Amino acid sequence: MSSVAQQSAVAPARAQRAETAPHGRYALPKGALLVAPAAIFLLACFVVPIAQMVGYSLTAHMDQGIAVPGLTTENYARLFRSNLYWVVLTRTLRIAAITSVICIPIAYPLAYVMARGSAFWSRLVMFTVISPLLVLVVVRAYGWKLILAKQGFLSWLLQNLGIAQAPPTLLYTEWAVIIASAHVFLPFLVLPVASAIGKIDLGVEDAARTLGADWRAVFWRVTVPLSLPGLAVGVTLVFSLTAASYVTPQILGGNFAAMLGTLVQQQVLSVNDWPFGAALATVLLIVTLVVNLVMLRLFERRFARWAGRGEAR
Amino acid sequence: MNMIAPGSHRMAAVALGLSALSKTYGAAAVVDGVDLNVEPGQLISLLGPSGCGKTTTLRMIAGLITPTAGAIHFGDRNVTGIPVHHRNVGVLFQNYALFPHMTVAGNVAFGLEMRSRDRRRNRALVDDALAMVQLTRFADRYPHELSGGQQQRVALARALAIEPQILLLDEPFAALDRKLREEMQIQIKDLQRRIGITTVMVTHDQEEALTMSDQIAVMNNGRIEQYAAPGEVYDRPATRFVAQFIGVSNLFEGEVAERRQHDSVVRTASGVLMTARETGNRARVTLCLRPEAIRIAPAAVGAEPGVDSALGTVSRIVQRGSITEYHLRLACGDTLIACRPSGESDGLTVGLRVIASWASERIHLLV
Repeated sequence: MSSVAQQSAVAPARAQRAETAPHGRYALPKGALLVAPAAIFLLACFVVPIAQMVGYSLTAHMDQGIAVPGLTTENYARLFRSNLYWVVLTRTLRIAAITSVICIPIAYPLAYVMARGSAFWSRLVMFTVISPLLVLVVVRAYGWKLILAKQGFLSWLLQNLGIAQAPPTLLYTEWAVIIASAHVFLPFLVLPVASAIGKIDLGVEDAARTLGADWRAVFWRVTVPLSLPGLAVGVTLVFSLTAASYVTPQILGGNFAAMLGTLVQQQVLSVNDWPFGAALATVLLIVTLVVNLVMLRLFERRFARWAGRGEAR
Repeated sequence: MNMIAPGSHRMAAVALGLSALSKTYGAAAVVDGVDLNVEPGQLISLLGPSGCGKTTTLRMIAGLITPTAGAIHFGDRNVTGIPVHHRNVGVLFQNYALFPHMTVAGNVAFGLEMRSRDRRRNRALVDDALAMVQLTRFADRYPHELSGGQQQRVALARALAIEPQILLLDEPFAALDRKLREEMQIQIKDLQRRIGITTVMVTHDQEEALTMSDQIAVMNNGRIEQYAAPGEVYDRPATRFVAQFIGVSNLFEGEVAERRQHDSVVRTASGVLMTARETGNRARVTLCLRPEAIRIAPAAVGAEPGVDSALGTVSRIVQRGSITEYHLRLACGDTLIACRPSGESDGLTVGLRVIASWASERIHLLV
């Protein structure tokens, strides 16, 4: 499930790139050939399974442990009937949104150093940011568990600094999931933003400075607006990945911060209710897709004209 | 050449002063003790080949690079330690460096907004600046929707809208095609003269420097080789480098063969005899002769070269548009370049034996 959602997250970025491809007279047949392997792979491993999943959710429902075949919307109706599913869905979206927002201020300085720093600093930041991806997700989650536990490092630190009186409860809350998600998905924001900053002409920042802008004004009025395309891609990635994550919320959130992924797993593996699990996964997919499209559309509208895209000259 | 622009009130004051300005990176001195004074309202050029330190000098004036040593004064004010955003300089960058995410009006307004929040006043100033470069109709366009020449005018309006103390032009015409370049050179020169703003331009194009500048500083290896008016730089180059960099020069090394009352006769290494003045008591000198100072005529049989003339053969004829260059191979093996207006070839063809001669006052002694 997680891998499926990850691919759906990458799709908008890919679509964006395709738009900028050259439209030469001979571009189509040659381009189609180049795209073919990826297209076939996606069709077989992504489009077909998703269609299958949506199909499951619409062609059967479980009635007291027995599968009843036949075209039905019962699975979705059930989803909307129960308050529990709404709570989990909104929680999933909330955690994904907060994680994305938290990542932004952390990502910018890192991206800036990566794009503009010396080779040494650039590589150091790159490695540091990517390192969580090199660790197995389960190991990483248990690592955070040790840090966030009541007798853990963070609790000890907060108490000794006098910030918290009693050992604070972090583990098995939404915040545990948010912190761990931000940690691991940060590179997906840093890398596109760094790439966007790297593309900004240094002369443009120099020009702003000669016109009287101090570093703050340069950052807010020039660097940030010009890196928005990278930010748009990064935020949609972090949002989608967080919304679709399963292991991290399972280990760090437990039943107190269960996310949609957990619910799907329960339905499919524990309750053995595949149709309902498929319905939940479909809802997650659609919601993530809609949020991403809306977000990209908002960004796109802001930078379509000055980037010379969308509108014809 | 207009030496003193209106608005300067013929003051001998200094609008921009560089003293012993240096920039070193490690052991390499990119700019090495540059001294330069610019009078108010003048347009001066820093002219030199790439890597001569001209752009670094410009960026130090702007405040974008911190000098290793030396001082920069705007009028009486020492600005050496003042950060770029407080210096009040207008810079026209080589690739214009327009803000791609802002409209033309937004670009021009940027500098004004950094200075004042008075929106109405800023808008009026933006309108003025755009009217000045005739781009009022394009206020709501984005930079990429404009042509190269229009983009440059936006950049100019943006730089001038803040009423800078000094205007800096960094290779401003490099990205334009030839026709547009000549047009923009005239436009910018006119505008600069009308506003009377002290301007420093960086260029590697000697023609551009000669056309636009009141004074030219020829730079080489981080130093200024000569700082003088264009005519002076062309007619009386101070050094061998200047003579070779600006225009085409025939250079002769020679020994003083005979000292006379007002001048001396120099015998060049290749045996040509030339008149030179003010040789002082030097024994070896370098003489410079511009191609347009040389007359050429078919040589009569048995002609003998005297002082200030030489025999040779036309080895190549190069059309340069309004002038034609004649490369002469002298009997002694040297090459001499002469030129004359195109259409006055007088039957000169490759392989013809000719006699080249020149007036002694056109010979310039290099220091």
